[in-house]
Amino acid sequence: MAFVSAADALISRLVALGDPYAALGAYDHMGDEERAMLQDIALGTRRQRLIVAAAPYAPAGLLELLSREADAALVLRLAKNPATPADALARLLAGNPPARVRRYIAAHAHAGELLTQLAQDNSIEVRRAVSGNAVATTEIVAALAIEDDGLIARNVAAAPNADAATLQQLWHVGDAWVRADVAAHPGCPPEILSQAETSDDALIRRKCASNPALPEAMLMRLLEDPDEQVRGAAVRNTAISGEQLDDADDPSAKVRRLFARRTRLLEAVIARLAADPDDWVRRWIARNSDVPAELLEQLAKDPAAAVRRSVARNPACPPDILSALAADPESWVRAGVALCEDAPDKAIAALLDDGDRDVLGALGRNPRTPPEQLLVIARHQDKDVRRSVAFNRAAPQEALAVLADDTYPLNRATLASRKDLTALLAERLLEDPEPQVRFAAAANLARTAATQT
Amino acid sequence: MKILVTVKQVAALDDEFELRDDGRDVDEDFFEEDLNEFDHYSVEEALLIKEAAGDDAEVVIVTVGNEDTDDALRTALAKGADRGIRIWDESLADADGIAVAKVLAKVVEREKPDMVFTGAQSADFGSAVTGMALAGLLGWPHAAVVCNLEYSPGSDTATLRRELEGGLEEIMTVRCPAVLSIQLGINEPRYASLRGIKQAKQKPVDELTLDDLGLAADGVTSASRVRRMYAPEKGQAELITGSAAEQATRLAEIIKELRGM
Amino acid sequence: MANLIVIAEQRDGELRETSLETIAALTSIKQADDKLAVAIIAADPQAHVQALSVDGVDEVVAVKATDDFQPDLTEAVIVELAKERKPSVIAVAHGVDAWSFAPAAAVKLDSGLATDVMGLKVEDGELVATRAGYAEKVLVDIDFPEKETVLLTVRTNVFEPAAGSGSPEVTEMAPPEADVATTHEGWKPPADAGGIDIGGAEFILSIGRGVGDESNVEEFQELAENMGATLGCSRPIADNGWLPKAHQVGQSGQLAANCKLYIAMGVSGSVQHQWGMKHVENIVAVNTDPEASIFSIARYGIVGDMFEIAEELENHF
Ligand SMILES: Cc1cc2nc3c(=O)[nH]c(=O)nc-3n(C[C@H](O)[C@H](O)[C@H](O)COP(=O)(O)OP(=O)(O)OC[C@H]3O[C@@H](n4cnc5c(N)ncnc54)[C@H](O)[C@@H]3O)c2cc1C
Ligand SMILES: Cc1cc2nc3c(=O)[nH]c(=O)nc-3n(C[C@H](O)[C@H](O)[C@H](O)COP(=O)(O)OP(=O)(O)OC[C@H]3O[C@@H](n4cnc5c(N)ncnc54)[C@H](O)[C@@H]3O)c2cc1C
Ligand SMILES: Cc1cc2nc3c(=O)[nH]c(=O)nc-3n(C[C@H](O)[C@H](O)[C@H](O)COP(=O)(O)OP(=O)(O)OC[C@H]3O[C@@H](n4cnc5c(N)ncnc54)[C@H](O)[C@@H]3O)c2cc1C
Repeated sequence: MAFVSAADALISRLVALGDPYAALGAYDHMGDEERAMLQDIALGTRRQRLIVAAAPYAPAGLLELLSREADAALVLRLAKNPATPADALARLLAGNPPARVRRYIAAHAHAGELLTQLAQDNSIEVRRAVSGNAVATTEIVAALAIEDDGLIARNVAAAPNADAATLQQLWHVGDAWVRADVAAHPGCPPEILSQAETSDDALIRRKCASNPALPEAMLMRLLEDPDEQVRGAAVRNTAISGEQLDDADDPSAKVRRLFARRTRLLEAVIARLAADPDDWVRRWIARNSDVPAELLEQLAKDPAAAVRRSVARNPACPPDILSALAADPESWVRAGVALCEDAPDKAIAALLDDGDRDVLGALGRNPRTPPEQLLVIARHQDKDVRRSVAFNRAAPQEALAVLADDTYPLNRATLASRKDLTALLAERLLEDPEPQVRFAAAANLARTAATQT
Repeated sequence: MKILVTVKQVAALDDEFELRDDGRDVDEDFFEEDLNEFDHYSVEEALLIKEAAGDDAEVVIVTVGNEDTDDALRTALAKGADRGIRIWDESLADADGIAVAKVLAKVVEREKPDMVFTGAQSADFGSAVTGMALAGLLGWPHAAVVCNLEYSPGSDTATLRRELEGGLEEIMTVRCPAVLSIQLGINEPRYASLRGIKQAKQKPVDELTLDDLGLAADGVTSASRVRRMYAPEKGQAELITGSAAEQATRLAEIIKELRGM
Repeated sequence: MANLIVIAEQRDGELRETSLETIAALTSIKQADDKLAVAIIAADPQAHVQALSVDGVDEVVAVKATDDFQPDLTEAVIVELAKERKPSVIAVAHGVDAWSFAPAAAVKLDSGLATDVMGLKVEDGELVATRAGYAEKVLVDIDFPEKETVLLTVRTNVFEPAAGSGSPEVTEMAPPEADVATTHEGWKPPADAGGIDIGGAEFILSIGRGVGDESNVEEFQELAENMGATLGCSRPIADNGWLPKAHQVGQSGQLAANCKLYIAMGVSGSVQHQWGMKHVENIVAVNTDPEASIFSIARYGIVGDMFEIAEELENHF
């Protein structure tokens, strides 16, 4: 008997199936010869080519092929498709497309090299798109900054690659909004930061306080700013460590809430925040993984259910507290425990008979839930509860097999996109009526076949 | 006992599409076609009744459309319906729901079913006309947007719920035979695999012409005509531009104004 | 002179506000010598006369019958009115009740028919109705060659309800013979969504996968609370267990039925999500991707980062 490789067997199967979506799914994992066959299936009709050109899930190789066609509808779709690779975009641009298409290319994350040319485009819309593209280089950004255009100025002030000279220039010519963004820019030169720190305009001080490259001394001063929004921005700024935030008695609850979100706070600060009268302050601190167990225990008895939920979702929550919260009267708190991958068996066991769909859905996702129980959940009457098992990396094959026959298409789609799908289930899903399911099933089979060859 | 289910192949569009040269419809290359979602539910409802009734019940699927619409027919047959009927004539190319209903009425006269199910509306044109127009032509009892149904074959009434605005439901009884238009969510439709859909080719499908139904091409008139089709004004969204602080300031104004704050 | 007729509707004895919108739709094409009559079928039709005596209405036709919805009866009334008055247009709101009777009435009259009409105009003396197609991606102008009477169902929330007060003539019409095949048995109220009420909320802040992380959800919950909004979400957020299922907006979640302002942040705007919110009058979309579908249904768009916008918004509430 002749040896038939897994890849050969799969390709015959895909050719016999003749399904464009399955072909798309398998494409990236196949050799050149097989790709040529899959290409014929995937791009057989114009209708199909139009679909592929617009699909964010389409393989880059096929998008590149499509860019060789002079069909204006294809060109437009390719320019908009985030998956279109750089060489295809270059070809589109070489074909002198209309301004609308050039604008899409100018905004495209893969446009890199093309931006130099597009920065000189005669359409202002295109140049604006370049200025807003995060991959625009320092030189491009500097060249565009000279333009007298408010939108370009705003984009440049927020551009990651804007350098000190450009920012300096914008600081001098820009309006208050532009200057505020300059003050927030990590590349902002120190002299401007000093001006910003003492500006009369609270917006500019606030933006300055949010600058991640702000010198410590300035930040410490801004923590004392009379304006609560400026203080809030300073508290959020991780340029100083949480340990340096030693005064959590800010009169503004909004500022204290921001304190409660910081890590590495001093113990005394944590204790004060945990006893704060504002629900939201306690809610945030209850989620904070630096909070010691004794305080969590106290917060687990908080009258506000949202605070108790936060305790349950705190990665540092000790097992006994989770067990106690598993009996909480509020289902959303119990669901929080059910979602915990390190919940003790006792807590999980207590939740198994829960009737609430949020609790069951959370258990369904949790790898700690016993396999027999996952099988029960996979058969639950609520389709959303059932789907949760498809997200569970420890789900037993038996439960996944149940989901492979689920009447709800989304549940099969979720199952099909599991990277650990067995060949048996993938084969079954390859004949599914939903394109998305066939796509993912074929991708799975092809990935496995590729590693076996 | 026989239930007739009417189904439609519908077309979906992507954001970018082009119109046909005559400006009265979209260029077909931009279509993605499928069985109307509502029809999955009406077929399922018929199959559930058939299964509860036992062997002598029959579910017949009917569509008015050219041979491309065989896909929709076979998708329904593959789920377990017994046979199909497809009617086509080039003169139906511009047919609206009323014209389609006129054709379907002749099929009902021929098949004499105990019940007719249609989808509540189609996903593409969505006029919600075909089913209730069919009832009007037949002079049959009817109810639209049925989200729950209790009916046992042979009984001369059915009890149903209609889904009204805001999730309110009306409970009503209706005399049978009746034409009911079926709402999403009435059941959990089963599905058939691609293989099953291919195999459904073996199920009997009657391909009929207007002539076969005793209809003359000029006898199937529509109640409307498409004068022109066009894309709605693009980018109706007013873009709020500027820096994030600027955008948020404007958004806060909008919120406060709309909320009277 | 032409006759125009509106079929006003009541449910359980209460006049449907949409009837006034339908009156407004017809007054928009009414000529000086046209006559607009409004018919109402009810147990006590006189009780609705005053509410229907708005600008543009020349006559109210009171049909004393029952408050129960009976499609057969409504169709018989329409047929009788049409026979008597040869109207050029009969209009009713595009509500679920009209879905039951309008198409059946149209075939009985052999009239023209257009449903879910969102615009009306007269071109070269011909009535032209505008409706949407392909899930709102196109608009279609429809005409009615050789039809003396056209039946229209008018999309709701498009025309401002007719107001003012006139003194129309009030006519009584005996309910025509009708073979009524349906019996009203009762009502089933909407299911309780469990604490949070997406269906009842007037202001919703909705978050999608752009939120990235569970702890970030809290930030938007806080923002929603400060702004006085109800927090909604797209499906993946509920799927991840980050918000209770009851917060999910969309086809397999809740319909934002009473929402007046919907802010979608980091939501791409899939058809399934749109199902639950695209009818909202004021939609604001915040998304980093200028091509996200959500912008195609939004009234205001912000191309930007939801975290930056949220952080900035916090400063205003
Ligand atoms: C033919 C075809 C049709 C598709 N149709 C859709 C569609 O209608 N909607 C869509 O979101 N994606 C659709 N996709 C998938 C889409 O292109 C992305 O692959 C998908 O969003 C998953 O992205 P991911 O790889 O980042 O995350 P994944 O790891 O695959 O998924 C992450 C999260 O996305 C959610 N998710 C994935 N797919 C869906 C879905 N269909 N509906 C709801 N949640 C989903 C999951 O629940 C999960 O929480 C389709 C794909 C194909 C091939
Ligand atoms: C944008 C577009 C262009 C159109 N162009 C024209 C035109 O040029 N002239 C014109 O007058 N009309 C035109 N129509 C109308 C269209 O052909 C009819 O509307 C359609 O066949 C029935 O109406 P509906 O899609 O609104 O379905 P609905 O009345 O909403 O009803 C849906 C249900 O009715 C049944 N049903 C509907 N159609 C069929 C069918 N063909 N076979 C069997 N059952 C069916 C199914 O049960 C289905 O679930 C156009 C429609 C579209 C999508
Ligand atoms: C049968 C069925 C029923 C469904 N029912 C529903 C339903 O009821 N409700 C529902 O919502 N979905 C439903 N879906 C799922 C639907 O198809 C989509 O998968 C889902 O709506 C996508 O959610 P999303 O927009 O949050 O995620 P995505 O589609 O992944 O979109 C995330 C968006 O966030 C943007 N973004 C990312 N980062 C940022 C940032 N920092 N700032 C701003 N924007 C950012 C991205 O540009 C993107 O547009 C259903 C699907 C199926 C198949």
